[in-house]
Amino acid sequence: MLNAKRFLLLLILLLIPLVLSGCGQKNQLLILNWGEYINEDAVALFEDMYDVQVTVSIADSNELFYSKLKSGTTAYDLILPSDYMIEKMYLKGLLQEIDYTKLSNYDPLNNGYLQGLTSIMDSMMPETQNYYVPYFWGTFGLMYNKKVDGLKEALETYQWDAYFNPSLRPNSTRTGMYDTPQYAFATVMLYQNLDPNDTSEENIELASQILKDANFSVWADDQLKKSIAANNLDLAFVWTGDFLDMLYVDLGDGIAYEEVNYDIFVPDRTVAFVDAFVIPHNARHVDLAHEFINFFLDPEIAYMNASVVGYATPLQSSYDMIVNYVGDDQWLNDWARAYLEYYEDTPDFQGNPLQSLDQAVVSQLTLMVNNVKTGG
Amino acid sequence: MTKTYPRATLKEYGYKDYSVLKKIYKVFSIVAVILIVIGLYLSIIMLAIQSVNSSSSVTSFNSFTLKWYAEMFSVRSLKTAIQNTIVTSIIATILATMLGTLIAVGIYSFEKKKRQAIMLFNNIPLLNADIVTGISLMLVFSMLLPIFPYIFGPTTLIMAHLFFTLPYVILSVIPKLKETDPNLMDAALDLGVRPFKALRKVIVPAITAGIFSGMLLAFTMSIDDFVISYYTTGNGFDNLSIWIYGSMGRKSLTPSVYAFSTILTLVTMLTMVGYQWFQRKGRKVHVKR
Amino acid sequence: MNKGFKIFAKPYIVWLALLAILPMFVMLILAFMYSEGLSFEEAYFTFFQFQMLGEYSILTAFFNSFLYATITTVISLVLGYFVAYNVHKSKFKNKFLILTILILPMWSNLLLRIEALGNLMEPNNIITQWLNINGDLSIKGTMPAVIIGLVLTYMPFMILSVYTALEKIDYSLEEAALDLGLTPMQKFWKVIFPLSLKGVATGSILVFLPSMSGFAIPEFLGSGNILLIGNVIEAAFRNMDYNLGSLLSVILLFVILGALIIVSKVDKEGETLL
Repeated sequence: MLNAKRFLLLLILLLIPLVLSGCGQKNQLLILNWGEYINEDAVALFEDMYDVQVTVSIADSNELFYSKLKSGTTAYDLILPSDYMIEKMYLKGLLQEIDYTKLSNYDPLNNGYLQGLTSIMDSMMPETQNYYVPYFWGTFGLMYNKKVDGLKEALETYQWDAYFNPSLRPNSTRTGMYDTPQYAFATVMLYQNLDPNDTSEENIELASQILKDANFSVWADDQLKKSIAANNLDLAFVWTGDFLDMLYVDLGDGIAYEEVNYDIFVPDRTVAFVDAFVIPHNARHVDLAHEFINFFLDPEIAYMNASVVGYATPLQSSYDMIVNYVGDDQWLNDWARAYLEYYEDTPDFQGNPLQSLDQAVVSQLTLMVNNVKTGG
Repeated sequence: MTKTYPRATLKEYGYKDYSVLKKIYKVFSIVAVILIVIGLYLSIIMLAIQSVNSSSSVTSFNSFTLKWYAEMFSVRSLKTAIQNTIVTSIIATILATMLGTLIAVGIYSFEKKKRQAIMLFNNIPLLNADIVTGISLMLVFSMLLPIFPYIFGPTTLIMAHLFFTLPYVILSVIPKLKETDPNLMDAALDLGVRPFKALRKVIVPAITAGIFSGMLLAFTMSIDDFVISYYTTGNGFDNLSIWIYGSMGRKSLTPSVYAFSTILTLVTMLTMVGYQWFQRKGRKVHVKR
Repeated sequence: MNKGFKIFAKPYIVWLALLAILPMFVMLILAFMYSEGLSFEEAYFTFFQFQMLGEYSILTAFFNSFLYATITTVISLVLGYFVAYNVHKSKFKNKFLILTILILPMWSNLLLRIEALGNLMEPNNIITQWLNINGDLSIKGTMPAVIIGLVLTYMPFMILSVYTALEKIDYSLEEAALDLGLTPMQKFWKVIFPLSLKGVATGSILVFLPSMSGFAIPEFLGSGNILLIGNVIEAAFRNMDYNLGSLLSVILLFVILGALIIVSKVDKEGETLL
């Protein structure tokens, strides 16, 4: 009597989420993306056009992307990893080939990629060519606080040296480093004019020593750019796109281009990367995924996307739309200016893409960084 | 005429006069307690301030505005995250309360030694480090993946929440069970009531306070959970804490989330105060009779 | 209670066995292997992980975790007991309301609270702007910052545990002590404090364990510089190094089991755990 009623109620309650999770499958698209890396309005537009529900989950490192994909706990339809992670995922058989016949906007002749991007793509494994569609690309640089006198000159003169060597920059400059061991290691290698992907024992030792001497006060990811903008940090190694993100926000708030109190310096030898769409092997809505990729290959949509995300758009046409703007809108003018300054469209692009590393090596690097942090 | 004799001071009796010290101590303790409470509330106050700040920067206060409250549901991902959190917590709390009460009754029916052994294991979810629990649950659920490939999501999340809230409910109910008169149950059975009905009509009313506080605790633990949810959800079903962790430090951490947090705090505060007020009113009515 | 109700508890025992105890064994096995994530292909048994235990950073992390957790517990104990005792002694009619006020902050999201505290600890934040202070209250990234964060987050647990224990003390014992000529100070140390030890013990455990094993608070308030064992475990699992993560988790489990045994000796049915 009571027993049966309660039991039934319980069963119903328990079954609701199961049913819900199985139910909404028909018109759903699951995407795993970086934080604030897509224009929500564009997504809403796609949802209306195709009458689907798009759910964007967020992870903030390539390693996390990989572990989520490998563990299989979620069947994502689209993921946006970086170049070296695409290679690793491909090697482990986790991706499926992209069917270019479904991408009507893909037109290498009329709607091609920027030159810098193609040179990065050329340096990736040729077998992965058909497994990804570029989304955004860019470089890494040293973002600095303009309020610190002499910092800009120090960076221009000494480049990487000013970042790692406390004596070559103004006193009491607070420095920060990206909290991903592979990037930390790569920057040290670039500083020493070595191959950022050469993870031999001596190199790791060398990196350990240099990182210790550098004595960074902050190790974080996205906090770095926010701290610099808030005048709580002076110098940090960030993605160029991150810097532009903050810039866009400030410009949107009405601050004049020259008055923004931070800037970025891109050294001659730096890391370049491309983030791209890939379709996991266990994706459930493959056709929809292709539609989504296709949607963002439309120059108009890519333009819209690039107005919110500070990274470089892949398409030549969108790029032209941005930099060729002539008009009165202050923000659009500033945007064109920023693009020309930081994302030049030249063939001799000086970026070194990273390569994927073995798990054992990654563990070694993590250990090295941990040792540096604890001072051991 | 009687002579008024002077009162002897404590000193003349031979005791030390601590009355001044006592007064100082009293003042000091009130001030200290208030300071500590302020310390506990410091972050909440900051959140409230930031929720009415028209600039989304954490360093400057531009002007007072309520726009973030209005915009709370316009950011899609935040809205979904809030919805997911509330749905999960409510379902988990209801299930935990009902099941927990039954289980507590069951445990109480065991002999003392066995009961203590079970309670020992019951403490494991409580005391275990969040991260270890989260990972253990993820490991176990992953082993089920071959059978239920899409199990990660609301199902696993609710199971995980049940896992760590059931012990709280059980721990709240059992002391109340111990306080009830052991003869009540026998009396009911003697009067011819069937066991389950007796449970419902006799025992449950006696332990309502325990059930209620267990429910409150379960909800508190569930709604704020981060680490365990982080490892046991999937398929896009993110809860608020995961959303915040993914957005912390980015510009997409809109002040609307501070607005939501402030509203949650205010609502619970008002509920508590209101509940107390109603209780007191109820008592007054009783006395009047 | 009716013996027939035992059946309600039996499924729960199975549930606990599956979800609480089984994973411990899985982690124990993983700690002895090298595998990529959870897939057992290319996996083999090895003691490699144990070498890692000798690494400086991991030993420091363990040491720091214990250190920070101990300091946090001691501070929480002193301050928390103080608050609980005063609330207990006070003549408020509505102590429940006061306790609710103390628990209320826990309903706000932990990450938001930590971020708010973290922002306060930066040299430039809303308060310094408003008050136009130019001084340096920037303690973020240092040990005091993390400890303050830990104390402010977990002290309510201590307050609640101690308060519950204090409320259970029979008032007539206190009166008897005073009658027998003890001063209030002596009464406290010789009568009240010993009787409240149950609450002190469980409160300490409730503060010590999360402080030792959390990762969000040290990561954020320590600016990535301070590594507690929780951070190392989380990083290990993030990098698919389930083996190292499992090994460290198992060690952590031993500490927790130790705490469990203490609790079961002090407080047989877990009454003061709330």
